[in-house]
Amino acid sequence: MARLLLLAALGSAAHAAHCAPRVRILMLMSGGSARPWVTEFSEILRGELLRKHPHADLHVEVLAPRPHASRGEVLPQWLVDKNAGLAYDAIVPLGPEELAAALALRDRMWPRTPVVAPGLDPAQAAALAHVPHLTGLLNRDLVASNLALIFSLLPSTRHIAVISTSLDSDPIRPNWRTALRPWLRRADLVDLSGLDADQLPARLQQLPPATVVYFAPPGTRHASAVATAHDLALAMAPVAQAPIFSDVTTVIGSGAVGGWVISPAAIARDVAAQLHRLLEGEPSAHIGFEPHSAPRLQFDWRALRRAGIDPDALPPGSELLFRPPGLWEAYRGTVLAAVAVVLLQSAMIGVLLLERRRRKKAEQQAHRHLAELARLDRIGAIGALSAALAHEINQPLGAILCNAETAELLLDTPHPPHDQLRELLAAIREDDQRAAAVLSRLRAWIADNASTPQRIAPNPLIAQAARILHVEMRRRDAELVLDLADGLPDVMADGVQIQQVALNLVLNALDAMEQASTAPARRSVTIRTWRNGSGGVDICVSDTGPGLAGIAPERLFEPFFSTKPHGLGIGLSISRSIAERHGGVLKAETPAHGGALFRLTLPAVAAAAP
Amino acid sequence: MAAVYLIDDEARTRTALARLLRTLGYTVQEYDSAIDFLAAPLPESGCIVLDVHMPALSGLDLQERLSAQGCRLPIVFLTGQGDIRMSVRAIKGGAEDFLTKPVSREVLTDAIGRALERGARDLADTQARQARNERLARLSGREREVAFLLAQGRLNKQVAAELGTTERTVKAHRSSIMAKLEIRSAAELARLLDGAASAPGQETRHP
Repeated sequence: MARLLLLAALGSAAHAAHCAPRVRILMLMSGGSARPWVTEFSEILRGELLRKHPHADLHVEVLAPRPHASRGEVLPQWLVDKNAGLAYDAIVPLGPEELAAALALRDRMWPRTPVVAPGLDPAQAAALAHVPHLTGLLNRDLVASNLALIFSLLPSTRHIAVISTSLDSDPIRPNWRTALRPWLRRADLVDLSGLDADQLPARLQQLPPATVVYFAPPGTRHASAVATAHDLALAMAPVAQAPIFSDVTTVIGSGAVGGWVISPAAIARDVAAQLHRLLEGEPSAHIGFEPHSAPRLQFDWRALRRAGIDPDALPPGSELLFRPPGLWEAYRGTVLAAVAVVLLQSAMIGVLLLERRRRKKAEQQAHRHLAELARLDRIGAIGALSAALAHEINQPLGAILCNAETAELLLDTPHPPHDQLRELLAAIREDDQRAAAVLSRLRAWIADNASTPQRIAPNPLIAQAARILHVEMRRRDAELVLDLADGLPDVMADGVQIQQVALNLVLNALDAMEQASTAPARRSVTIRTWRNGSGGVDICVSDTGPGLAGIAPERLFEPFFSTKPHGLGIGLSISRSIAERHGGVLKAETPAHGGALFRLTLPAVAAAAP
Repeated sequence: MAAVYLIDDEARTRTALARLLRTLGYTVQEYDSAIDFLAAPLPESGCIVLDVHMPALSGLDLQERLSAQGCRLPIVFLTGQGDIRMSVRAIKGGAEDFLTKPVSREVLTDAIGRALERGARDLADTQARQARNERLARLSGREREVAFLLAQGRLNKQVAAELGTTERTVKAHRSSIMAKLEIRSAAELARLLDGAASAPGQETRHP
């Protein structure tokens, strides 16, 4: 027994290896069968076969449609003749009549060749149970399912029109009457079976309202009435006001709403599955009759809309075909690109905003640094002016002391003179105020306030700076000349900083004149203001000193450049930074008449301002 | 009462000081610049209170000018901020004091008091010297030579040897000198001539 099995296994292996290229399948179909249906079926079947048997050969024979064929003429002689000497591994008949021919042909020529019959109805199958080497696939009853579907989706249906071969002798759907019976209480039946393609449109146009059409295209035969299911559906769709349901996928897309459908492809795959099993040696008796694959729920989205059926109301698992793509599906690339552009743009804007903020912050920081440096420079200037300041404060203090002591002396006299005492007290108060004024000026001078520029008149600024310098000038035996032009425009400035520039320039001039090897006959510093050619204000500080002594003017403005023994060399550098922060320029010049001249140019306040 | 000449360009300070000094009993003359002071006739006595820092002519400059003109009024300097260099120069120039403002009453009055005292002393010295010089002027040239040698403690014989003359001549000169100067002894002569110019006709400055 074991040896026998081994031999069989070897034999089958050898057979498979040797015969694989020669798998030959004969398919029988009738000439009038709906063409798209057959085309799809045979394409899929061939594809399925080739998938497992690279050299499979699907041979198709078309039997002439014979509506009134008698039993005796089941097997046409031409078919026998044509296939003499040929051999097939299996025969696939596409309908009941082809099945009869196939069985006859098989019995005559290749008694052991299996026949695989799709689309059998259960009653038929029962009748064929005794036939050897026959396997098959049983139709599912789609009519009942579809009727239930119609009435659930369109409960107000009053008429149900049926287009089929015949309600009583439909080879594929044998149970029309049974299936319809429960629904005829709710709706009238309009039987359009057996009509040919010319008659149908007129009848369809006359359908009463609330009618639903059940279009059951004929199977592979009985094509006398309608050309093909496809053509029919195309012809029907424009004229039929009523929604058309069907049970074949091929009409979906031609105007039918859809329904529970079975596709030629599904049937072909079922057939191919049985063929594979047979080719692999599974006995046909073992396979027998099996149901077809489960039908699917498919709908044409456009037809649903015409019929007024909400796609959301469809049973779960429904497939919606021909649904126009949404914005997303249609323009996915464009939408993505647009979104990407928007995102990029937003990111860019974000980055730019961030940059702007950082730049602003940096500017503020630079401003703060300059303000801080300027303040340090002003504190430094106080060092330079310390003698003058001490003098300015000492004077009133000394006067106060004197007056107080005088008052004490007068109080010790037997009759203190009130008038004189009052005079002394008044003098004390005045001197006190004088000292306080010096201190408050000093505090303003070194205040740590990076004040925002204000609209300000230049001349009073210079006059005030001159007041600060007054004592120092006297102390250093130099005169300060102010030559201030009338009618100057206002400037946008931080007043203290502008004064600081003027003061730095004057102190520099004093130092230069003092350092000069040949002291000038007359030490004089002039501050001159006037309206420059571009409508702004020029503030010039010139002296009678030795001039720039051959130093390149730009060198002077470099930080830490100093000609003074104890100079830090930041005064001019800071002064220039201040000028630039005010949108102005600070330059050094050597005038023809000698000395040095520093020119601070400030822009006028925008003319638009009142 | 003693006179104080107050020179300061700072009006308020000057006024306050003048008031104080007047209350203290001084006669105060105010000037707001050194030039003004020089423009007026120079006073004989009293003291100058002088601000160092003044435009045009500073306190120190004034001191030099006065000294050059032979004015020996004592000077008390006042300054807002004095440095050592400045004060040394002032003191060397004969200043009585160098005070830093603000100055208290005690310090100021002390200084002015000392200055006035010295001024008075100087004045007395000068007057004594003038009187002596007037007396010495009565002597002839030869008598003055003899007088100086005698004042140094030389004997008649030594003087005669030094001058190349006879002792008798020296004796005659001596009695003439005693008569002209209205003194009786060589000791008195020495005291009179002490401090006078060692060489006839020369004047020495006060120390």
